[in-house]
Amino acid sequence: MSKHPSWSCPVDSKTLVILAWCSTLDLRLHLERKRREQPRKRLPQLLDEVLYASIDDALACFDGDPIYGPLWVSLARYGLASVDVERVTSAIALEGLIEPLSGVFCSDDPYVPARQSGGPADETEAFWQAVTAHSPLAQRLQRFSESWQGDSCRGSCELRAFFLWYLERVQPYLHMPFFLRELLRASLASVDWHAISARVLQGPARPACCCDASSSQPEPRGVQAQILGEVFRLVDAEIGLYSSELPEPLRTQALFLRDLCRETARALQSCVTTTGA
Amino acid sequence: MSKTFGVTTETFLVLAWAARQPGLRERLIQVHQQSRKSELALRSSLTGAIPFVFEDPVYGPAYQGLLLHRLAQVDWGFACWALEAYAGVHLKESDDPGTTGKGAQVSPQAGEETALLWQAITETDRLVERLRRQVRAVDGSVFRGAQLLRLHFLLHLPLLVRTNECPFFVHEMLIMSLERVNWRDLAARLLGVSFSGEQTPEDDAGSGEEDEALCAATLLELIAAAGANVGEYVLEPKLSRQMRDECAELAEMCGATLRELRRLWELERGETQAALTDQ
Repeated sequence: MSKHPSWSCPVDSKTLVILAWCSTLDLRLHLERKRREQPRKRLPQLLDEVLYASIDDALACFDGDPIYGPLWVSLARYGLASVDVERVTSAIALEGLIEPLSGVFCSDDPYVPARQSGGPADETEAFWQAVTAHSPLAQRLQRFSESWQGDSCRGSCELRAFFLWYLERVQPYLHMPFFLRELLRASLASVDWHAISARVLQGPARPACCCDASSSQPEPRGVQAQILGEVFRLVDAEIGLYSSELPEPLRTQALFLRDLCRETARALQSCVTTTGA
Repeated sequence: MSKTFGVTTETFLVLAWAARQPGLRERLIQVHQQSRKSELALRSSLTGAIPFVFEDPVYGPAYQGLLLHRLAQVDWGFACWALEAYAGVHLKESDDPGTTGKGAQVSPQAGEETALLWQAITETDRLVERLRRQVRAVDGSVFRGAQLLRLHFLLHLPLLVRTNECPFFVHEMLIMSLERVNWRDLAARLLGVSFSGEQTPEDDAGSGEEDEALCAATLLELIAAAGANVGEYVLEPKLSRQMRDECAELAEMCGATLRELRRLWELERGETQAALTDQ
């Protein structure tokens, strides 16, 4: 039986979510493998390395989203920077391998590690850094902005709705672990959408206003169409993944459906452009 | 704080979910101060957060049974204490050797999940017939039938819990339960053959391989899921008529493609069987 640590650390909900995710991993298997590879290292240090590597593996799920993936990585890394991984691994017991050094409890005044210098200052900067570093994403935002008619309030409202909804829709396709979804939801809620839309429109940043971007209004119609288009593209990619190994004529049928997905996505896009929905 | 308690995955999932619910922690502290019944308050908040996904007449009871079984493993008292900052918790491994972290996929305790799922399957005529048909379609092999069953339930899961409101612990707990089901036992029951529980040479030869039957079954499930997803937008009033028509057409095509793929697959299987009989 593992020993009970004599003290506990106040943590925030992000740390608890990461600990909950850790509990679903096969930490014993990973740690034993690490120990065989590096027998001289201390087990707590190896467990830290296991967790860092597992987080990196989890972030690889965004490789499946060529347009928005880099944005999700940037926002997730920003969120992860406020979590002390050593605090997480200190609260893990693996019988016969590692004893917990401390427990954790939920607090309004949690321990938060100092952010390393050089990283983005906030979620808005993390968002914009991803946009400037990844031209397909910048082009996609530029395309969105064509229906805003220069109105940054409308843009901020549509961007906020689009990214929140898209995150929910894309999650099962990317097999995104739940802790990343929770981190991203929190990050998206903190992005200053007015600042982002103003930058997309290359206009001056407007002071915060009381438009829909800062409330929970239903999604605008244009946003729903954009999302639907993305869903079709994802379905197309997913069917392609599984159909490639199938024999004929099953594969032809699957390819036919992929074509339909693409055509429908294109038709939706032209609807948005012509009707300004 | 000096008190810490070891808790398992189920408790951490509930704790993490509860910590992210705005105002819940404060409410629990208040309830604890007034009546010491914060555990009940946490349970009811959690139950209230589970969407009505289990009302699905075919699959609902099966998944619901598995979820309730996992929720029964939660240490509610420790979760409340950690939320109210009354005590700390650390992660410990489950005593069940079949759980994540201790290797074996199918433990003797897997019997609980298997029995629960079997009970739910047999209570729904449509489901038992559907699964029996699928398992028989893979040459009556228990091993391949087991792979198909596992795939079937894993692929239906996102369909069931795809709502935005579905809390993450529902999905995670269902996955945990599904990982513990002894699929070979279930396949043998559906095929009406005895199950010894021992590994067979067929298992060793086929383990890890995604054969053609499984690939085809995955594709069929995916297209069914895509059709259902797209179909949801057909009645979406926020979309224009033109867009809804496009969605309706694609959903219809998904249905037609699914039927055609099923027909082709049955045809191919029939030809393979005939060739084997001739030999």
